[in-house]
Amino acid sequence: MSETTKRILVALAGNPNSGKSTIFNNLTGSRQHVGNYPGVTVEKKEGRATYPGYDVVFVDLPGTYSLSARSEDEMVARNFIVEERPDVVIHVVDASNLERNMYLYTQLSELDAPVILAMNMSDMVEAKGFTIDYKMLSKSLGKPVIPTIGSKNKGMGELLDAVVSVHEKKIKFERTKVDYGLEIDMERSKIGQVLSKNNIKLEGYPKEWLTLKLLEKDLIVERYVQGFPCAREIKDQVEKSRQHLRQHFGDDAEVLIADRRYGFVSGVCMEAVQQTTEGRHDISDKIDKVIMNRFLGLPIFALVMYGIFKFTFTFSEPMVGWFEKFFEWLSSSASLIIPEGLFQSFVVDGIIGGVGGVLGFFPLVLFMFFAIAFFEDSGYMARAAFVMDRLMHKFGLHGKSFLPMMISTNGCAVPGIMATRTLDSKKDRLITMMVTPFMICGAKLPIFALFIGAFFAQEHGANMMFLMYALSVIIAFVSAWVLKTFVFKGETAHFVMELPPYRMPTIQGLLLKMWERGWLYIQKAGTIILLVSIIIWAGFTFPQVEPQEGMSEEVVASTQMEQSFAGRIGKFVEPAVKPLGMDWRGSVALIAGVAAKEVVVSTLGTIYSLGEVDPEETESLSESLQNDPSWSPLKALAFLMFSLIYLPCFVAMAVFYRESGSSWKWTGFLIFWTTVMAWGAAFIVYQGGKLLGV
Amino acid sequence: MNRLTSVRSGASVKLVSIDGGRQAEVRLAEMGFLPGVKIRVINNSGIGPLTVTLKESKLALGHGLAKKILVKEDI
Repeated sequence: MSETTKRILVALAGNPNSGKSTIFNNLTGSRQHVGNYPGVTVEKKEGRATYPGYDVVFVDLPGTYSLSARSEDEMVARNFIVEERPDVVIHVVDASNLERNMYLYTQLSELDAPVILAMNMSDMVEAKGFTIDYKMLSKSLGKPVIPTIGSKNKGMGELLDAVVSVHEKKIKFERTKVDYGLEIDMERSKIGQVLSKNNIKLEGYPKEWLTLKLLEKDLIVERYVQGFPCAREIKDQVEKSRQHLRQHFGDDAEVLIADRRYGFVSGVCMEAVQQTTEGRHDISDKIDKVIMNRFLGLPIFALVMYGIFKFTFTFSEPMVGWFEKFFEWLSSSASLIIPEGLFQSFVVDGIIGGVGGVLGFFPLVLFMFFAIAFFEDSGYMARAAFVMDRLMHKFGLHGKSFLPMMISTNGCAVPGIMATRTLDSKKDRLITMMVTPFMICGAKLPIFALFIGAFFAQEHGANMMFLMYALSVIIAFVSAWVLKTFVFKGETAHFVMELPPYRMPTIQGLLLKMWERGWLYIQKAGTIILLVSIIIWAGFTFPQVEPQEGMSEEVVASTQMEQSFAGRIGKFVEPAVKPLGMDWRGSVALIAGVAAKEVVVSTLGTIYSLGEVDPEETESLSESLQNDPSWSPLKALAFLMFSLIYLPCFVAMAVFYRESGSSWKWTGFLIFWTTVMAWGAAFIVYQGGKLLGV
Repeated sequence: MNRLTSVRSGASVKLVSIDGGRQAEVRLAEMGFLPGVKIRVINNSGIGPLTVTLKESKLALGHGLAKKILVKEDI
């Protein structure tokens, strides 16, 4: 007899840094990103767990302190709970930081969501000098409370049991109410009366919640109410009520409501929490004193970043060499096995030359991801944001802009752009989104590694790379400053951020993270980069040119390329990039690179592979560049400048378009801005260098 | 009454009120910066952001925002 499995939809909500993503990973076994700083979960992530007879679907909501929908990520979290009506909401609470975390709970329970509390990091509670009476807590809230330790995978079974029991209605819920006091409740009921007098049907919204949100001047709820026939009447009543409260308490309704919520929370905590010893912050405080010191903070941050590059270059160097040798061997063997002709060229020049060039840098990318993951998981990144805040402020950015930029540096501008959702003000968000693509992402890394390897002495590799990263930051800052001064005027919003406690990253955690991001790199090489490489190869191979009498093989090969489709496009663009020291080859690589930045490398790989005539003497791409007299270190530098700044890849542009509120205006501006900046910077480097006689 | 920015590192103070726009006030309230609450300043270098503990958690606070927080000595 087969039993149909029942589907349970579970949402995971919680503050940033509550360990929500770790619990999500434990429950679903899903491989996804967890970082020890606020704002990592920018999109809802889904995963599944199995339980006898059930199919449990988990959705990881963005970490938020509140559901007031003032920033994009709060909106995402709240809309999910209101619109999707999940069967269960697990509220993941950092138990060692109970009061702050429970603020969100008051809002979840007001939405009538079936909440289970996961008291996470329960092992940290004692270390902080507390004990929590979970039974008491559960009793006073009327909700199941499950202690968990995400990092040690403890309490997950109990959590799943509770999810199923709640779904099966084996646990009775009580609605715990925040006592908002007589005055606020009176005003709420007045607003409620307007609603019921006009026979308004509320789709799914609890009426009590709605009246509260109206008092708080919640934008979304205001917009929702706008559609009612009695919209005017509601609005007037809300204004009257707010006025009344302001007169009575001398404060805005939002502040009064927040105050009551915290009051409720501290009442609950007082009952359930016992302080055993005086709390200890000493070690963390002592480290912070040095790391966040006014004078030492920035140098330490620079040193940390430098350390990351030194580590990456030193340890990946031999492996990158092996990979290069391997692809050289692969090309020459393929040339021997496959008879000469179009198919040989397709395999050797198109596929191995293109994709091989990108895969050759795989070890470098892996080491880089590992090093950065270490600092993310340790809790240092939030401090770095703090240290950078003062500096960033001067340029129209702020500490919170640092995280999207770091995410872009660690991996990709796409999650970076999405992470700007944690910024409250639209203006700050747009500026940050505009400068995030300037950072050197995992896809741009191979371009830099290739040219630095080819034109600069080996011992300077890490230094050059560090310099390039520093340059990308400077360009982002200057660009933000220009935008702030000439395009987006007005105050920069405020910066409050929680500093999570330091944690020692676990080796498994680091390896998992490194592998996730590294695997994406490989996947991309096998799909989009392979596809674009084939197109580029075809672009250079057709139309076929008839070899003339007396032409040497080299001349045939270069005439073929110059007269092919891609070659003609390159030649057409050449005059525009000539002042930057680039020829048609560089321009084709850059144009193709808009599909994905790794393609710059794969295209050059194909071009140089096609130009090689003797299959016995294959050389690596970096050797080819070195031996090509049309390149010089100065030209390489100008080329890198252009690559650093110019157009983001297609995917990043598409995400920018979506996140800017589907604005063609801003997307167009981004394209214009990056092109102008790139051209200008490369021009200054190349012409300036020539003047100086470099 | 003082501004939070003028409190030296290591001192504990009580929040009196927020002297700022509605948006700042609401954001701060949601983070727990409410009248009567106890704030311990961990590090205040005089310029740039400062770090404080509030309700058992450590927070970084921009200078501009900290300036809007009016406090008195905690007795």
